[in-house]
Amino acid sequence: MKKGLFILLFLLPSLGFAESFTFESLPVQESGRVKPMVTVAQEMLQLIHGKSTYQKKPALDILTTWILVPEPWMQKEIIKIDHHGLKKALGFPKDKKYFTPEEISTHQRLNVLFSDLQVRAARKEKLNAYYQAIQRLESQLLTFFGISQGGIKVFPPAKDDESTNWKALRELDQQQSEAFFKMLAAYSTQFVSQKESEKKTGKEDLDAAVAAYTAMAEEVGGDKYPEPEDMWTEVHYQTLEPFFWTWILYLLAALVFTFSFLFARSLMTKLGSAFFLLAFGMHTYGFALRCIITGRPPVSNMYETVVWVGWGVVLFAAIFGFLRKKTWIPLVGSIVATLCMLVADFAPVILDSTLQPLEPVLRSNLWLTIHVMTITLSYAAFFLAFGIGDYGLFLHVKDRKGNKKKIRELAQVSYNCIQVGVVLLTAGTILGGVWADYSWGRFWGWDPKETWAFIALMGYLAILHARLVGWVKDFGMLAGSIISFSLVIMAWYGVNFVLGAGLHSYGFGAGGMEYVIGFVVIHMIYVGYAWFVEYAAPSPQQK
Amino acid sequence: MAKSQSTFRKINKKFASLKLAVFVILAMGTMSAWGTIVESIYQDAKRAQETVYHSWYSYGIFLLLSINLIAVIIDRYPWKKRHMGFISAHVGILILIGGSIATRYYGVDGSMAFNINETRKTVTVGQTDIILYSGLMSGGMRPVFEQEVNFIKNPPSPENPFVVPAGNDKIVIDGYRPYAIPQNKIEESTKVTDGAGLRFQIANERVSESDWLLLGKESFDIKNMGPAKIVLGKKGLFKYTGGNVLLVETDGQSEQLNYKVFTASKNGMTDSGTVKAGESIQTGWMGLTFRILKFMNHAKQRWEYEPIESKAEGTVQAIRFQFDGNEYWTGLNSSVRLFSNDAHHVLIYGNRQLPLEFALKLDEFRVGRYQGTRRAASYESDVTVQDPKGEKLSTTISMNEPLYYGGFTFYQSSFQEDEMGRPTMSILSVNYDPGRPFKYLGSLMIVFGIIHLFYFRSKKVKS
Repeated sequence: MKKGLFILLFLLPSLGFAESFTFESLPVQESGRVKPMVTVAQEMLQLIHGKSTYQKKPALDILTTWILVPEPWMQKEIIKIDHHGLKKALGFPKDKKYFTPEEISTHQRLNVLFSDLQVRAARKEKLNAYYQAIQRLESQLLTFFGISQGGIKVFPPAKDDESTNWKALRELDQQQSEAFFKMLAAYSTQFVSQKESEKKTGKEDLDAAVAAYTAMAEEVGGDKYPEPEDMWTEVHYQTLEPFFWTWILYLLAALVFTFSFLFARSLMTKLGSAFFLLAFGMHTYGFALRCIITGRPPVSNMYETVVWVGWGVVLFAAIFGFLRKKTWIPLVGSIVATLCMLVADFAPVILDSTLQPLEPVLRSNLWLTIHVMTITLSYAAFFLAFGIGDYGLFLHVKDRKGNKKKIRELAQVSYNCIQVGVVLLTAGTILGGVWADYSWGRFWGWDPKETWAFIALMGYLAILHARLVGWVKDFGMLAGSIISFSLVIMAWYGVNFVLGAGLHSYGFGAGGMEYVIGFVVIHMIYVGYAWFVEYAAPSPQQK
Repeated sequence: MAKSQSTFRKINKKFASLKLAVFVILAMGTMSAWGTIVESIYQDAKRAQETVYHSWYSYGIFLLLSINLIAVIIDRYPWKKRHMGFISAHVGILILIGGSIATRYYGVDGSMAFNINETRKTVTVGQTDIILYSGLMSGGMRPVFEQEVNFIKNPPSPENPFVVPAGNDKIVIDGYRPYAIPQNKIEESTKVTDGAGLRFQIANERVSESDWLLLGKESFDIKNMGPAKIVLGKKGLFKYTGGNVLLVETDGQSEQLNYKVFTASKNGMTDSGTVKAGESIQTGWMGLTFRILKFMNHAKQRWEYEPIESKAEGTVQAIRFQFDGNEYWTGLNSSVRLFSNDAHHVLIYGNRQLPLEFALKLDEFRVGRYQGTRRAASYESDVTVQDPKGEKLSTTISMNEPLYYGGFTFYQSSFQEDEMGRPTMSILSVNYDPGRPFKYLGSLMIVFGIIHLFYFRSKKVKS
C-alpha cells in the first residue's frame, strides 16, 4: 500500500501536464536525436569540463552566457584534460586539470597531434589511451567552438522538406534569430538579477519569449517539431537525478541495517527495509524514465548495464532476503547496489551517461533486450554472491569457530545465487547465439564478448562441480564466489575497456582500468589472507 | 558377463570422474581466455580462430569433454526420473558439440560484396587456395595446380616452403606477412621494352593533387582529374576528341618532352611546347598549374608489402616467392603474371570462390541515417535472384531480415561508401548451416536440464 502510493507520487510528474515548452525543455537536435536544452547543456559541460556544473553554476546558465557572450570564455579555465601523456605532449603542468580554450586552440603542437590521430583513425587502428585523450580533446574543442559560433541546432526543417537536418542558430533568418536571442536574454536576467521583483518579471518575459519562439518553430516544422510532453520526461529525468538519490538511499539503508545488526532493534530493521524499498522504487523509476525517453530498454552501454546490474542485485537480495527472512541479505544487497550506483554517478568520463541513439546492429529490440538483459542479470546474481563472499570472509577472519553456523548459511545463499546466475548466464549466452545467428548468420563465432561470458560460465561451473567432489566447502564457496567474479568483471568491463576487440565494438570505451584492477587485486589479497587464516594460522580457540 | 560389465563400468567410472570434469572445464576456460588475448594482440579474429580455438589442443579438450560426458551418462544407467535434468543438460552439450562439428565441416560461412547493378554467382569463403594457371607463350592458359593452404596456421618460411610445380620450373613460396600494407612503387626499369613513367602535380590556390602516369607496354596512359584529362603518350599516337586535355609526349629517349594543351571551350589546341622534370606549365584552366615532378624513360611498377604488427584497415596477407631467380611479393586475392623462357604463368593466392546454382543481382542499396548526422541507422539491399530452375524473385534484405534461398541465408552485414557518403558497395554475409537444428535442440536441453537439476537439488536439500 505504502509502496504503491509512493510510486504513484513519483509517476505523477511524468504523466506531465506539460502543455507548453519551457526554456529548459526547448528542443535541440544533437548527436542524432532531438533533446531538451537542459540535457544538451549538461552533456556539453560534462564533455568539456568533466562535470555538469561550472563553479557551482548550473550547465544551462553556462550554455546561455556561452552563446550570448562567447569571448570571455576563451580565457576561462574550463577544458579538462586528464591524460598525463597528453599534458606532457602539450607542455602543460602535470598537476593542472583545467585549461583555457585559448591556450589549447592556439597551441602550436595541436595540429600535429590531430593529424597523428587522423592517420590512426583512417586506418581504423585500435586507439590507446593517449590517442583517445586526443580524440576527446578534439571533440571538446569542436563542441566549445560549435556553441560559441552559433552551431547549436535549434530550428526544425520545413515540414515538406525531405531533410531531417535542423538549422543551426547562425543559419536562422533575422526574425527567428531575434526571437531566439530574446529568450536567452530573458533567461539570463533571471539568474543575473538579485531582486525578487525583477526575477518575477523576468520569468514572465521568458515564458512569453519561449512561447513566441516555439510557435514560430511549430509553424515551420509541423510534425517535425516535438510536442512539449515529449521533452518533458527528459527534463524531469535530468532535473530529478533519480540515480543520485538512489545511491544515497541505498547507503542509508545499508547504514540503518548495520545499526539494526549491532543493536538488534526491530524498529531499525523496519526503517532499513523502508529505505531499501524506497531506494529500489527510485531506482526502478529512473530506469523506467530512461526506457520512456529512449523508447528501448536502456542496456546498450556500460553505464546503463551498471545501473541495470545494481537493480538486479537488489532484486535478488530482496527475493532471497524475503525467502530466508534474514536481514543480512538486503544489507549486502544495498552495499553492492550503493557501489554500483556510486560508480555510475561518479565516473561520467568513463561511463557515458548520455542517452545515445543505437547502432544499426542493436536495433532489433526484442533480441537485444532478452539477450543482454539476461546476461547482465546473471552478473547481478554473481555480484550478490561476491558481496556475500566478502561478508563471509570477514566473519571467517574475525572468528571462524563462533560464526560457523552463519558462515554455512552465507555459503548456502551464495551457492543459490551462483545457481541462479549460472541458469541466467547459460540462457543469456545461448540467446546471444540465437541473436547472432539471426542477425549475422552464425550461432557462435568466438567473439571476445561472448567468449568471456563463456569463460565466466566455466569459472562458476568449475565451482559447482568442485563442490560436488568435496573440493569446495563453505570457505571455498565464499572464496570462489569472489575469485570467479573477476571473470565476470573481465567479461563485463575488460573486453570492452581492456581488450577492445571484436564485434561488440558498440560498447567500447576507455579509462578506469587502474581502479578496476585495484579492486580485483585487493580482493585477491583479501582471499589470500582469509585462506592463510583458514589453513596456516592456528585458530584462537585452539591455543 | 557380469564380470566384464563390471570391468567396463570400472574403466568407465574413471572417464566419468568429476575431477576430470573440473579439469576439462578449467582447461576450456583457459584456452578460451588465451584465444581472446591472441585476438586482442593482433586485432584479428581469424588468427585466434585458426591458431587457438581450432588448434589441436582445443580439439583435444573438446574430445576429452565428449568422452567425459558420454562416460558420465553411461555411468548413471539405468536412468531414473530424477536423472532427467542431469541427462538433459549433459546430452544437450554433446548435441551442441555435434552441431558445431556439422557447421565446421559441412557448413558455408562466406560473404558476397557487390556494387549496384552487379550480378554475382559466387560466395567468397574463408578457405584460401594457391592456384596456378600455365600456358605456352602463344597458346591459352589452363589451371595446372590448385591446393588449399592455411598460411595463418602454417606460415611458409625458408625452412618450410610451399612448392608449386610450374612446368620444368617451380615456384617456391617461402615468406609470409599476415598484416601488410600494399604500396604501389614506381621505379626505374632496366628493360628497354618498359615504357615511360611520369609523376605530375596539378594545383591551384585551393586544390593540389599528384599522381603517376605509366605507359608500360601501351601507347598512352590517361588520368582523369575531374575537369581535365592528363595524358602521357608515345609520340603522335594520341588523337584529341574533345574536353580539356593536357598531352605529354615522349619519344622514348629524350628527357625533353613535347606538350600540348587542348581546351574544351576553344575546341582545340591552346598551347604547346617542351617541358622537362621540375618545370611547370600554366594550363589556363581555372588557374591550374601543371608540374612534372619526375620523369623516367623506362619505368615499371612494383607492389611492396610493408609489414605492421597487427591487423588494421587496409592490411592484407602477403606471400613471398622465388621464381626463375627472382623474388616476388603478392597479396591475398591478387594475381602475379610470371614469364619464363618458353611459358607464362599466373599465380593466385586467394579466398575460395564457391559457385552458387543461381545468381544474385544488387538492384539498389539504401542507407538510413540518424537525423542530422552521417551515422548509419539502418541499411538495406534490393536484390533479384536469377535462378534458371526457379522463378525470378525480387526482395529486400535488411538488418535482421535476411533472404532465405536455395538452402542459403543472405544477411545484410555491412557496406562501403565513398568520401561523399554515397554507398558504393553492399556486403552480404552468406551462410549455410546444417548444424543449426542440433545447436538449437542442444541449447534448449541444456537450459531445461540446468533448471531442472537445480530445482531438484534444492528440493533434495530441503527434505
